[in-house]
Amino acid sequence: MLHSHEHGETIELQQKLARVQSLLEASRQVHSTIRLEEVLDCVLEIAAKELEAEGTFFSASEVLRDVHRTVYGKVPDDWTRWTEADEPPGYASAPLTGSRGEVLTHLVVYRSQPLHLEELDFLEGLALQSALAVGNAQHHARMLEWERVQIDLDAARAIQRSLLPQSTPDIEGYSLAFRSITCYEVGGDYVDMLPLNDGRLMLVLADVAGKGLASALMSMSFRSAFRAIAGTGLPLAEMAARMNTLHWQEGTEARRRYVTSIIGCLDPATNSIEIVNAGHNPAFLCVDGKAPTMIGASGPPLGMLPGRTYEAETYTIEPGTRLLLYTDGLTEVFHKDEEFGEERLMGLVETESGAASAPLLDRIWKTLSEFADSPRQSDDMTALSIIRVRNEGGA
Amino acid sequence: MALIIRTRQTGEVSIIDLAGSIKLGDGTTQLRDAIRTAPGEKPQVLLNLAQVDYLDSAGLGELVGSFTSIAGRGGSVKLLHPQKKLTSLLTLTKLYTIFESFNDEAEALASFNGR
Repeated sequence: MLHSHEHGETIELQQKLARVQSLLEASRQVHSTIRLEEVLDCVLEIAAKELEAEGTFFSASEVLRDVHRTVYGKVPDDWTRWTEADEPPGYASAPLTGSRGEVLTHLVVYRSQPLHLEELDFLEGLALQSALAVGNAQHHARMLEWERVQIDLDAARAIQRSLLPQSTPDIEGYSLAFRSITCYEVGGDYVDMLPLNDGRLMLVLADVAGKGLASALMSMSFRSAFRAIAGTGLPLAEMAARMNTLHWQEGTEARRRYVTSIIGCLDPATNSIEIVNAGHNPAFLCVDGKAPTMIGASGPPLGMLPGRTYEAETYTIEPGTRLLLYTDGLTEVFHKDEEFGEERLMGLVETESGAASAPLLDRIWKTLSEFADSPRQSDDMTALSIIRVRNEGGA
Repeated sequence: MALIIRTRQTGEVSIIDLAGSIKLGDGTTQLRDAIRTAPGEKPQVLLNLAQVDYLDSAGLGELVGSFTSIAGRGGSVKLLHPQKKLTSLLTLTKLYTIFESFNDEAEALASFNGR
């Protein structure tokens, strides 16, 4: 037989156990879904039933922006005026705190009879579990959204890759190769080659300011402009001026995504190439026994300033000549604080045997990856190599 | 390093002291706002770049964009103490000629008065 005070303690323990059990059960229910709206509905219902409240609701917050129903049961008409700082009689509340300590919302209970201490404990415990469940639900929603974005980006990448030249033109006596690697799914580098009917080859290598999707969009717009103008027979300098104006006219956002570029026209009949450089890194032209030529800009990047003019230069291509066009993603590869730089890149072109373009690009990429600290690329990297092959037996 | 911006007013000239890097999504917007809100009907802006350690292609776009928009309002943007990296970028892109550039603040300020 138990003494009365022991009997009282047993009842108290049983009550505590029952509350812990109900909180555990509530927790199980709250965590049984990862849909935010279901989590919130579930929490309101549990709070109302367990605490025998007339009504429950969540205070207005950003978390609830896309949630339709945030009230359960009956609450006074002025429930929307509830604030944590000014809680009218009959209300009790507990905050839902996010992983960074921020208050997501408040779980508010309306009951004319004030809550006991144990009931307040239960409310706080429920709010704690709810916050975790809300966090999971938000994370899940973001994951789904991210998956959609990722699918979109993958599709965009496939499109962009497919718009690169699918093969390099076969020009007798020449070896051409290009390589373009983006640092994100899509990039702002652009390289293209367009054979003309008279046997000449139009080529372009361009870099839209920035990287990622916004730059990729501009690079595609630039591609259309280039492809439309490339076959017009206009002088190269005029093409650059017109493309500059076209891009400038696209407006402020486009101007921020200006394009540094080199446009060239290779004429295998005369073994010469005409080049216009619009604000782009200098191209390297190397011939054995001569100092390398750096083909620098004759005007600013395209689309940055209105009404600019450009100048084209023509270069003779002797047997064994190597011409490299590249984007700054190649020269700006870092090893600690040291940039790979123009000189090293030019050194690779200078010491190239002049046999074929693909091995030169292989060598450049290999050297860069050995130089770089991180295997992760920090910018888009694109290069186009044009080599006039030496005559057999040496010229 | 994120971009730190302080603006001083000397007569009609807004001197904007910049420290840090100006790059895509981090500094470009702040620079744009600082230049855009320079007072005066024809804002006179002097960008002090002494402490700017890095500027990417987006930063360059912002610099030139601000220049053209202020010039469009009849004002001017000039550079003070551009560092080697910026100078070579401006040279490479043939943009050096659009900016007036100084290495002496008093001289730079005097150039505004002369207009």
